[in-house]
Amino acid sequence: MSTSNIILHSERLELSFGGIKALDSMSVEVEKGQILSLIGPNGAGKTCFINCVTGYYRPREGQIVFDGTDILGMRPHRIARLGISRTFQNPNTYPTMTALDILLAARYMHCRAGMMECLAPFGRSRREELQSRRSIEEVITFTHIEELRKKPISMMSYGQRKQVEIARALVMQPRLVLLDEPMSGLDDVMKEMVCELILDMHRQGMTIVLVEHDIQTVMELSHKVAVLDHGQKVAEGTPAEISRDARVASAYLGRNEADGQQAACP
Amino acid sequence: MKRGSRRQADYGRDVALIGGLRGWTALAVLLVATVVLPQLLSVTDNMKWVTFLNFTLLTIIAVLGLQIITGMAGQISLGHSAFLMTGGYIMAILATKLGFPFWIAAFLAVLATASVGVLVALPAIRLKGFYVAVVTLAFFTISQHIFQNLSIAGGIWGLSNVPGPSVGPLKIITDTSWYYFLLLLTAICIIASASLARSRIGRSFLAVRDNEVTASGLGINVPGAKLRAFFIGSLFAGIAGVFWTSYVTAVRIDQFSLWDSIWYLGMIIIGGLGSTAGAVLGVLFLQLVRQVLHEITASGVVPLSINFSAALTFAVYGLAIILFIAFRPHGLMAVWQKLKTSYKRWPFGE
Ligand SMILES: Nc1ncnc2c1ncn2[C@@H]1O[C@H](COP(=O)(O)OP(=O)(O)OP(=O)(O)O)[C@@H](O)[C@H]1O
Ligand SMILES: [Mg+2]
Repeated sequence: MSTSNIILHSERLELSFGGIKALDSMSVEVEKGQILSLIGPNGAGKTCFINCVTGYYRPREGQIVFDGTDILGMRPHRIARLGISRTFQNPNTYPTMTALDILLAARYMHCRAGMMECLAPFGRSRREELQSRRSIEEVITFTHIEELRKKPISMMSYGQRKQVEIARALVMQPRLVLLDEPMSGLDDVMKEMVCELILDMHRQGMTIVLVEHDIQTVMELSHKVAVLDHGQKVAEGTPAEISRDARVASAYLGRNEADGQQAACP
Repeated sequence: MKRGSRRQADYGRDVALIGGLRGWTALAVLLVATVVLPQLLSVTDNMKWVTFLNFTLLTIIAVLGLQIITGMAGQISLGHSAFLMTGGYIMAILATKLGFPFWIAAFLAVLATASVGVLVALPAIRLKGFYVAVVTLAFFTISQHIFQNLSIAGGIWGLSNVPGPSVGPLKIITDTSWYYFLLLLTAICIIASASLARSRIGRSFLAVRDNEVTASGLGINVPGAKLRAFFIGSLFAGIAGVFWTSYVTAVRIDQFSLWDSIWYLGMIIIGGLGSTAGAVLGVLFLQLVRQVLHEITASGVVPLSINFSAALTFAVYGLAIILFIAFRPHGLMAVWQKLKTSYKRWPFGE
């Protein structure tokens, strides 16, 4: 790659399940430090795109380049180690872990202690543990989940899980973060909070791919919006351009604004 | 908010293995108790109880290993006693047949057992749940077959005259000296296991156990984590097997049975899956139950045949597990936690 500002570049991705084309020649570029939003009706392929970028799905054809590295076909943990993290659309269930547990586990990549070092109550492993506590406390304050520290994730509400999910992605200190509907199912206060969080992340220099149904939010937050329908990118542009686009209006906006509230529910 | 600021001031306290004045006092009491225990028991002029304690300590080391594989990383192993068998046999072969000095033989045997653990894990990491259990069961059968038919391993008679350790000028021979030696060894293993639980590797095990898909999203190589869990878990089992063999000065094929594997699983279930203290509590509890039942039948107070008493032991074991799964799924550890909080909150109740 040249010295361009593109941090993530996907080209003509093809992904299908049986007869369904989940992604159809899908190309998109994300500029470093910007917020790109992916919108589109249910089943458009937004989550599939995130799954391809994070290595959970392998597109049949195409190319995905992250910061000069071809990541197509790499396994998820390798991609995560390059500095890509994501949140899941449906907050994950962890049968036993508390918020603290999962946040500390998310520090995995930033610690170096080897297997045998981890058996000692002193030395590198302990130093890293102290460092991890310090940095997750920062994220805990940042994401306002102080009260949830020791709560088992399996006993949290949907909204609380979404919060912890974002915190988990942030603990990883990614360069690129993909948020899959971080606001769906949240009340207005929490939505506002997540918006603030996304802006804070942007100010810290992270690149963000946001998948979201709430058009209003998308238009306020994004630098660029891409519209997906049936796995194809049907439009792309600044929020202003997108709201003027007639095709988008018919394919997505008009329909979704009517039942926008409904889409926000899990 | 206040909590938050307190935490920011002192993370050392969160990370410490033993917390606060109360924790240290409890530890001191426990230490004194364990140290004087054999003296108290010697009053009865019966070394039987010291022997019992020694086997209990060895079992704790073994079960800490299973707790790492099954409790922390979520890989059900039915072959845990085969790791003890591997360690025990390799120790005996190295020390008696090949003339290795004790500590070198012990070191190599433990390392070999951990490597065998990785070999067993290789097919197991591609599988899930029940199938992992089947692989480990197959491993048990295979290792039993191998050691039974290996001429250097003494065939069905096994090997005897396995030497004991010596620490500096001290030779570990009597039951009481073995007790103190094993107590120290067990303490080291407990500290290692508790440290692991709050380290990057230990947390990666928990993440894999809870959700493999998201674990990989955290940058954790899921198959790699499972291999590590098997390595460390069978390392502990190797230590237990080596010193078991050395303690009884012999190794035979029926010394480590499939039933032992199943007892070990019961111990971590009853103690509480995933917790170091739970493993210790589970071992103590079931060892006591087993011993008490044994005493009752041996004393002849209740006229029971040997067969019936064995059957009774298994029945009690099975019942205990069922009751724990039904009523205390988080084991004795959770019971303990609950007692502790209600003690702290007294007189305010729950
Ligand atoms: N694992 C899978 N197996 C089969 N089909 C799948 C799979 N994953 C996704 N699909 C299909 O691919 C298409 C795109 O799905 P995707 O989850 O990406 O939609 P989406 O845009 O995220 O929708 P939503 O807004 O509902 O989350 C859908 O038709 C879906 O049924
Ligand atoms: Mg989706």
